Amino acid sequence: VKNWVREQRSAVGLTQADLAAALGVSRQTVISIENGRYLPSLPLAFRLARLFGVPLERLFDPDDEEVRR
Amino acid sequence: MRRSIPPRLRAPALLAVAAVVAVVLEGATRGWSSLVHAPGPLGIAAVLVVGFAWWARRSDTDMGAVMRREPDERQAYARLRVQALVGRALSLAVAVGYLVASAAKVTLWPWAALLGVLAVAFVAGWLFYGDRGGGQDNGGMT
Repeated sequence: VKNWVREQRSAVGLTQADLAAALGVSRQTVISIENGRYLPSLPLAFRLARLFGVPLERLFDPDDEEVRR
Repeated sequence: MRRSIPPRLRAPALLAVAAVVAVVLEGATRGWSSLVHAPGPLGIAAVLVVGFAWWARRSDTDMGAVMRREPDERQAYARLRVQALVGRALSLAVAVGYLVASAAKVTLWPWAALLGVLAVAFVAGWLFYGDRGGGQDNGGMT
């Protein structure tokens, strides 16, 4: 699953620590999500989308293979 | 020029110092031969474990967050995976211990009891956390 969390965060001028505090998670978790090492739960993904004011599809994009499965 | 220890080396350095202090205290108070017999090594191990826990709890790491009982969802998942790894390692160790004890014809019941605990925990785990899928398919009707 590709994601554009880093791009969205940069666009609104937040640091990773700011985003972590806004979401109530650790900075390491924000880093892991941005690097694609961790897939957030649905509630956390929706919190991210709501925070940036974008639909979920603008933040996360599954690979075609995963969708076709 | 003043030199300081890099942050990532401070905890291991602290543990090394603690271990040396423990060894010296142990050797000085109980005699140096006690270092190769229990409880000498146990004392050193205890100091290391306490020192590591002390450092980990204060660190800005996943383990620190778990030890402070404030993990987020990823850290809680990491804790689960660590517990699973520990469980697998213990299961393997108990199985090997049972085989070795059996081959050496020494007391077997503690190993058998541990195997029993593992078996019970395995069954209980599936009973608690497994979904038996007993629900009825209602064809999309609410």
